[in-house]
Amino acid sequence: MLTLKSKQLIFFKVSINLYDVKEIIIFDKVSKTYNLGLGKKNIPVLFDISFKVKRGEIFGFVGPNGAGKSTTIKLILNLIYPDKGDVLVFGVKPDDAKIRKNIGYLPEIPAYFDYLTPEELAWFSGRIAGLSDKEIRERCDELFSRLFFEEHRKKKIKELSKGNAQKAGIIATFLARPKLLILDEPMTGLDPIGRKLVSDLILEFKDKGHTIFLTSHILSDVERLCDSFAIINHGKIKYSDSKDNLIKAGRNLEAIFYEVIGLKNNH
Amino acid sequence: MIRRVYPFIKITFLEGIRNKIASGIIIFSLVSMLSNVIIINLAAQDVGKIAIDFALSSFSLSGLFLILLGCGSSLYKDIDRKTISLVLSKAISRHEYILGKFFGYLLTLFFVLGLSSIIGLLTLYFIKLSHPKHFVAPFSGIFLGYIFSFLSSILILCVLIFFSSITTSSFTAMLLTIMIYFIGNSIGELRDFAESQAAIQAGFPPVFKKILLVVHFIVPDLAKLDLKIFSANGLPIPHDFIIFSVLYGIIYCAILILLSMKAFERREFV
Repeated sequence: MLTLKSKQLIFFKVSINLYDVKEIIIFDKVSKTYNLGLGKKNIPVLFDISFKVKRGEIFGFVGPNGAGKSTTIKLILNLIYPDKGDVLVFGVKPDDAKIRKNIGYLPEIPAYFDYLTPEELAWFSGRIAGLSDKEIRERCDELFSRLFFEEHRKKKIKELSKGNAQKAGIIATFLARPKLLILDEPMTGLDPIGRKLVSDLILEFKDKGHTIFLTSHILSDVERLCDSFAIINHGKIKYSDSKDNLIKAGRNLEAIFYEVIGLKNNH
Repeated sequence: MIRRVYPFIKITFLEGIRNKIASGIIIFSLVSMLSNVIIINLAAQDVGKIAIDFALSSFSLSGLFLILLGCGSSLYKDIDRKTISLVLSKAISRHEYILGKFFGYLLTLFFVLGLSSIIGLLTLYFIKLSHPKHFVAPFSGIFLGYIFSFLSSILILCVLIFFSSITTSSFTAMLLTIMIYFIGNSIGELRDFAESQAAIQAGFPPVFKKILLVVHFIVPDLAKLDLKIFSANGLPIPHDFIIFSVLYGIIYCAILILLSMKAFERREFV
């Protein structure tokens, strides 16, 4: 039996872990194979991948389609479980729902609730994260106006275009100001103005100390926004470095990306 | 915990009642009650009995449609279109997801079927006024018939949630739920027949009898929640039958929800 004192100590330890860890995400030799059921072939997706995302940085995670990016995100969010290795988020295993109060996730495909309005989607995210209705209203006012999205505030999500549905998702993700943002292709479907607005939002959150895990196929965006990068291909981390080292070496991410995946970039 | 799940219950409910299926069910109720008025005018006798039977059957069908098409399509979007990733990426545990879905759908059923039952009861009241001599059944029994039919719908909802938690395709879950609905409506009678003297005399194999007993134990006996005969004939409903049936329904639902939570615990959302 745990005494009250030891329970308090454990709580204290967890609190310290959540907010004071230097590495917000740690992948340590993680492997994952999808078991698709009887009569279907198992599909190995990740092979011993290791990387760390430091607190307050924007970490770019790039790779071609099917490389293992979405699987990695699902492991961070505890939607799937690793076969081998450890995944730590805020220093603990991601199976505790409470730590996800500090996580904001923007999915690649905006499959939201069709009959809700962007405002209701934001309310849902805010309330789950523990915000009051007043706080949600105030933050909604700010974000809807920043993304020039006021006119769509009360429309049903299913009536919105792909880009506008993406904006609804972005507002819902950023609203609770989570300590860790996982943005899976945040620029998908956005026009150049939308991309600029979202880039500014990401950089502003970084300046305020939030950690951002970003995947994108737009390598120029990744290079411009991120402090460090990892390139994944065929389920293995092929390259990982900081932007500073990249600049020092006089190289750019796009060239390294094509080199790593074995494509010649003649132009 | 309810405070944490409340936002999820609310959005599930909003999705449920804004879905076109919900308004379709209300229209279906209106049309079927209009048909009820027309049909009883063709009946020479037993007007009340036919009207009540028709109203309760149509209500039961409304519940089934709402669960399969409304809740089923919503679960389809969650699982097949991966909206579930969005919900589970938030501070909602998998147990809370199941509870949130259940209570959200329960409120949707309560709202839509509530409206449907008001339409049905008003129609029956109108029929009673126009045929006072042929409508002897008390409204208390009819009202109880509606409540029990609602309970039966909740049970089917739990069956759908359970199958959605153990299958990877929501379509399979819907098919299995339909299967359980039909078996559940006839399993009680089949078991009674298997245990009767008539079955023994007809040479009904004992193996089949055992199989039926096992199936009866597993599949919900929906006949226990069907009060149509009592309501339509104005028969008094025994208190012990009411208590037993309500307890049966609640316990069965609780078991299904607990099993769904357990199955969901280690499920992967690829």
